[in-house]
Amino acid sequence: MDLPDNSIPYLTAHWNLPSNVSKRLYHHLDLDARWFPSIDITAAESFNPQLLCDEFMLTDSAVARGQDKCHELLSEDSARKTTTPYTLEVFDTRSRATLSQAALRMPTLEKIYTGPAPGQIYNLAIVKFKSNQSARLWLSSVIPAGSNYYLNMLRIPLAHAAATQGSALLHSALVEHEGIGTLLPGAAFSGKSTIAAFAMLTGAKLIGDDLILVSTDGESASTARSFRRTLLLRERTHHSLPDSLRAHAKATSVSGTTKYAYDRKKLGRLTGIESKVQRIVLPSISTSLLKNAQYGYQLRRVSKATVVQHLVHSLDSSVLMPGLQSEKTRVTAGLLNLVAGTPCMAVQMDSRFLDAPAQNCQRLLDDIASIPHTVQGVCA
Amino acid sequence: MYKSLARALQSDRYSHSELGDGTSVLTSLSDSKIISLNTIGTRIVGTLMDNSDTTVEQRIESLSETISNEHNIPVSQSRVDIDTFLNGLARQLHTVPDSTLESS
Repeated sequence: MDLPDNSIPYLTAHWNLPSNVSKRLYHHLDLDARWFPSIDITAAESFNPQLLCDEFMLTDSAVARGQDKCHELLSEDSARKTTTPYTLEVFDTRSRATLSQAALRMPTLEKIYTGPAPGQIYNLAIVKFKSNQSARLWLSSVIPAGSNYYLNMLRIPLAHAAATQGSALLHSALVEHEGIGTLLPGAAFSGKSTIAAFAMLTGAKLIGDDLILVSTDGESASTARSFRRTLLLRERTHHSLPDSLRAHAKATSVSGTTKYAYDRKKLGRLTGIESKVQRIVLPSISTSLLKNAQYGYQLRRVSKATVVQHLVHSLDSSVLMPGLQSEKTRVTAGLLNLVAGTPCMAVQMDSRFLDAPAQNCQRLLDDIASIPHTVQGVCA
Repeated sequence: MYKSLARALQSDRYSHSELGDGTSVLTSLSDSKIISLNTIGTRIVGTLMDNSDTTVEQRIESLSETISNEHNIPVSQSRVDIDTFLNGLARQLHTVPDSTLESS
């Protein structure tokens, strides 16, 4: 298999990151600066909130005390510094609550890079918006270190940053077959990763299997790209792939479940980085055998109103964070336009799909590609 | 009966987007809540949002006759179905239907 080193244009040059973090992000994320042209991302591996304020803990009373301390610290800082203040909002990514808002001078942020105190490790990401001199700082005390550490640490702020620019981070797979990009939005166990994985055996390109950034307005509307570099496949899908692909996988534990992580870079030309969304297909798994589904799947029309609901539910939860109403409205409007201009279908699969996954996936993708672009969904 | 609902839908608090296949979504711009509408629901809401010279009640009556003919059901039945739909929509949008106000 041909595995060109530079098949995927990972860019980090425009990212303002500490070098150790930058190196790890480079390894885990499919991001480039085109998606976030107006922001710098600053991230730290861990964060000791005691350096910002003595008792900055995730309880209401402590937060109140922490805010007082934070303001005290900021006042000291503003007396010394003359740089432009930023508005800093602190979010707890678990409760989605706003912990504090304060004017802050960026040099203060440097203080938090000095390392964690024992037993007080927080994940931290800061998104600094150049356009309006504001920043958002995101804390999470619940994301465990591991293969998804950096992805999860930055996922919420990056999804938020995407929303400010009219892009939606969706729980979705994306494959490109015969030049046609098909978005497969769905929750866990809906079959999106299964289709995405077997698409690689058909000559189609796998763009992403779980998180997809879709631009919903402007010149790049309907352009979608992968967000995560690593593909995570469940055991059964993994074991249905040929040895030549499985050789690139590493077993990893995700929320107590064994999954198999595939490095997209090692999969080379089987994967792509970006595609135009030209079809939207809602996947689902049937636990019983489908009637009239010789190849283990049924493709059917679905109303576009249903697809809109599905896409909105597939939005990354970060868009539901407080204070993001205008972004959510913009993204929702963009998704409406995307759905209105794109043929939409639903596919249901049963266990027979995996009897001959490559052939069945080929048939499915051919069926999807053959949907005329003018087709309109009908009420399901 | 549905003047206040019609006024609410015609206001800038809601956006009604038709999706090209006869279905549509109503978006509440204050909280981005989305309500999916099937083809019949889309026509009912479209009728309510219509800014023609006729009254809301006249437009609803006319639509119920049209639906009655299309689906070969009594007009009384299509009117009951439309009322049920609009009352449900009013509840979703937290808009009190005029009929409720009148009967109270």
